[in-house]
Amino acid sequence: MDDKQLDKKLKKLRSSMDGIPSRTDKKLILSEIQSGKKRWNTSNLIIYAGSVACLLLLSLLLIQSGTFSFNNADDGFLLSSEDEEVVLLEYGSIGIVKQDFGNNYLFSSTSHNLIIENNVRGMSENAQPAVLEYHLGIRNNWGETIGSIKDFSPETNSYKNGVKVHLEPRKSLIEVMDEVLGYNLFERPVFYDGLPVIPSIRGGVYSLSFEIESDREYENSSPFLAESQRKRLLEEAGEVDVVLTIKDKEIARMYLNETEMLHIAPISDEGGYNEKE
Amino acid sequence: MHHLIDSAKAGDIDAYGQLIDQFSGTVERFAFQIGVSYDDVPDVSQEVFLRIYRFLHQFDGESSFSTWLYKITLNVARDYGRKQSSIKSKTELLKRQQNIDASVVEPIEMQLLRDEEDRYLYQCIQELKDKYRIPIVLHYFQDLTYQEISKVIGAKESTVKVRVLRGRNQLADKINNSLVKGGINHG
Repeated sequence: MDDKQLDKKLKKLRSSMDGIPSRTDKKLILSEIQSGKKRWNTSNLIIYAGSVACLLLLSLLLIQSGTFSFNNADDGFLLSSEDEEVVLLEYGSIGIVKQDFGNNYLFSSTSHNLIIENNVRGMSENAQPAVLEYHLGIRNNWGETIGSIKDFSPETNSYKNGVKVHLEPRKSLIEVMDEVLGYNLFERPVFYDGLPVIPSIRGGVYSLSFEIESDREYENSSPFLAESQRKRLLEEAGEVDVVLTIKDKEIARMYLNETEMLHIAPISDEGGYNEKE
Repeated sequence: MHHLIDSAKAGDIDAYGQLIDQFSGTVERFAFQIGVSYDDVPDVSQEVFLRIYRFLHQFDGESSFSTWLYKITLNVARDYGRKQSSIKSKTELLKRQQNIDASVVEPIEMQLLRDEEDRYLYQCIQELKDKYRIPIVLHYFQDLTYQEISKVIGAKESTVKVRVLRGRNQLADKINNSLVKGGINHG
């Protein structure tokens, strides 16, 4: 078959097909379009309403479990998640002071060791140890009190659901303590003062003191620190993380040196100690 | 035509009705020519015009409306073909189960094309692969240039030329073979 014959056949077929009548139902198409428009308008309204509802729901979920989320603890009070915005380290104060326990030393957590040591070592009972002292102002920005005063345990002298604050030294401070003291001061007993609850908005003050010079368990440590050593220690003393826990669960961690209001008490000329405020 | 498109874009349903009047024949013929069964042509045509209306705002007017129309028809026909092939296989299974001989039922297409030569040529075209059949149909039955075909199928113009030529050769071979076998009446 040559090209002309094929062309002729194709033209003939085309003519046959061109004669096929149109069966497109225009009315049906247009009515579909019209009803589709109505459906579209209705569905738009539904989508709009649904979107608003979803946004509201999402906002509620975010508030409940996101930035401001707090988890229900077993005992009914609320624990904050690890969020520095909710719990804020408002201010910090650091100093090395001569600690005078006076008649209250029995209430200190290290007093027992101190007495024994003093007896063993034959030191005066009026010995005034130097301490590295931290005062921390912690603000609770959440709308609820954090922690609880329920379930006090006399054995541990602590509240089961109470807020506890402890300090974790960073590497540079550990190195300085090793160099100056020969041991990690933060692994030693701490004089602790602070409420087990942080009221909403108002916040609370926590004091932690670490005894420096009365410790003679370590042979390499000096019984008394030179002024330069105290200065050295004080310079790095802000290199700590302030950690809040409830039931040993960490609820907040703040870097002390990043606190805007951090006061480091200067070493006084007399005796090389900060004056106790 | 452009004013009809603009009016339809603006929501004038009557203008769109006029566009349907103007192009429904083209859509139906093209659908039938590329292999949509005659019974299904109205459904395909309806879907084409619904789809065009849905995407009319995307038509920028730079390309030809008819090119766009062919492209959409081709896509709808392909989608439809996929659905129908699944239905067809189920129907054939049902027919076999009911002992109905499919060969005795003459397809409507064959009834429509009363001329035997036309029927055979139509069947030969449908036997071509897609890549040859569609350019052949667009070129010989829809009068599109190679350039326009290249826009519809998204291939280079040179590729279109080659495909039309090969498709044409394959058609000629099929017809020649049937003549050698003793005529086209058995086809």
